Amino acid sequence: MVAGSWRYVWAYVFVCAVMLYLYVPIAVTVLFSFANSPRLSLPIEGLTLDWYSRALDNPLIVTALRNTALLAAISAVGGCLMGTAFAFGVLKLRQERTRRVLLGLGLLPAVVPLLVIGVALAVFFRTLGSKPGLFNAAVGHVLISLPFVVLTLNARLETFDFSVLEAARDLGATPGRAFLDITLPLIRTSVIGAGLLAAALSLDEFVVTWFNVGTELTAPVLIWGLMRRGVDPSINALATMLLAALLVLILAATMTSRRAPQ
Amino acid sequence: MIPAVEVLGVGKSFGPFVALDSVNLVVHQNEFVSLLGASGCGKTTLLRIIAGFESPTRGQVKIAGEDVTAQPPHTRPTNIVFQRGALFPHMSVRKNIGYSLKLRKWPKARIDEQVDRMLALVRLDGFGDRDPQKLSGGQVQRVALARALACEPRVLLLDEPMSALDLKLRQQMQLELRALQRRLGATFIFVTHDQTEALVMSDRIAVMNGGRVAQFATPRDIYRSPSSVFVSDFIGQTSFIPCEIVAVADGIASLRIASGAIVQASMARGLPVGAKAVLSVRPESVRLSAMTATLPEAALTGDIRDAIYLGPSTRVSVAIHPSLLVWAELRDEEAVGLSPGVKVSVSWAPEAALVIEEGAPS
Repeated sequence: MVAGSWRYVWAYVFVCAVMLYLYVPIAVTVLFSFANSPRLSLPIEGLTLDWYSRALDNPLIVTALRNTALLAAISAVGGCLMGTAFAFGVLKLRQERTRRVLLGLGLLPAVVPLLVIGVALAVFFRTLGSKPGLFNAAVGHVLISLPFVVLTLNARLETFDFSVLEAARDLGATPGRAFLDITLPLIRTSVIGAGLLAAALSLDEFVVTWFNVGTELTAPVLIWGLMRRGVDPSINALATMLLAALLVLILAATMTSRRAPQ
Repeated sequence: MIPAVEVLGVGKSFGPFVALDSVNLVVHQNEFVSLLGASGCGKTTLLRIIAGFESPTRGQVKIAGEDVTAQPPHTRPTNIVFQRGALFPHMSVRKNIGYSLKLRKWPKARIDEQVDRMLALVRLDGFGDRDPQKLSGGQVQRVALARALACEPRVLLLDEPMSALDLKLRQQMQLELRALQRRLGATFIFVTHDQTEALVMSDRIAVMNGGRVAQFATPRDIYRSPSSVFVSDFIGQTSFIPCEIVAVADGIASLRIASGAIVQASMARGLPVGAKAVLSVRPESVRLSAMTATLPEAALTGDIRDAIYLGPSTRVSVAIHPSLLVWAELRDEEAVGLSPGVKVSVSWAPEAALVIEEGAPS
């Protein structure tokens, strides 16, 4: 009995330690973003929203946030369009082996180190003569989000009953009409979920962005720059805003995919 | 009258696999035709070629005299009922049935009217606002039928629409479907692997095998005078007995079988005396009687191997030769005393048995 409860105690201690390890640094950042002292030290004397208003008064931070939002939107839309088309195209292939290989290749960038992707893209763009900037970074973001979109859509399409599409065609729908009336409503939740995921991935992307964005700013790039000049509490506010946006996106993605019809 | 559907020399290959090998089939208007065969015989491929989902490697498909071979499915005057209904899960029953009419830009009031008519036709009045995912299997197929019939296609194609239903429901729907087809006066082409289903519903049956039509005839002709061992074997249970023709008179052949006994059967095609052939006889035509001492030497006799009680009848197998079984289906009172091991004499009316060429094209 005693030995049993001791065993449980150790289990609790271990779980708590892991949880602290995972969340304390994040909690500290969030906490200090509301603290009224400029020095990052405990105990906290009072709470304030000053760092947020100061961050939003800073034109650099505003530009960075706007660029980050733009890239996230491009990732969501671009990733979804390309990823969905790819997933459909692959599924329609008759040969099982070709299908598997192509699907694998579509997913592979997810495990290629971001550093490699970043450098490769930078070199590639230089060869093409494309100047570093938001466009190059956007191409990188779409590339990074693609495997995740493909994975999500492929999972949906594997359970997709293609005979409903044939039924629509048979009843008089052109291919385009069948897509709009039947396919799109049936895969919509998965597409939206994948889009939200793509946006979330783009939001805090640093490595690929840094190699390709040139002199433009995104939130992660700006944070990195500011950190080199010491920790300004408005960085905490910026990071917390990013974190909040991410949480909302991930939550929304989870909820849409849970409501998806099967 | 112009035929409803003409399939002319249609072949279809998937890479090296030949799914259809030069199929010819002419379906009359208002006819109920079944394409019957085991899986892989090409029946579904043929249906999909008529619907426009597959294009034939060679040959031509005409509907009401018009060549539609190059037409996509959405412009063809055919509609198909899929194996599992393929209802649009995000639309109500009413929207499902009205979909083809909406595409044809019918006014809303007329669509509603037609959908109600269709719901009544398949006896689902009041189901219009249901969610298709909450329907039973039988209801799903009825809605699919209503949806396919809503825009009044010239030809209705049915791809094993009842294979997922249980037996009772299937039997009920077979009768309903047949009655519906008579009432509408439409042309139905029905794919199935279930011979009973084909016999119950069809005006004519095309028995398919290996990408070819083995026989295309009325159910009675298919059952009574199968053109090949394959057809005979596929439709109903049949005993096949290898034999040699020893004499022919008035369309009745005398045959010698392996045990040395001489038996008789009718012969549809002229085969020469001395030819090897196969005798086919249906279990319900076989008579068994307990051995009496006064049998001629050439009479067919055997030992009962097995007697299977089936309710209305008893199915008895008789070994007429060490490796040759003949099946007999007997009414209850006829089967009294016929238990395994009993010696019996086996006979049939010559008209009830058929001589088929050995290795006839299947």
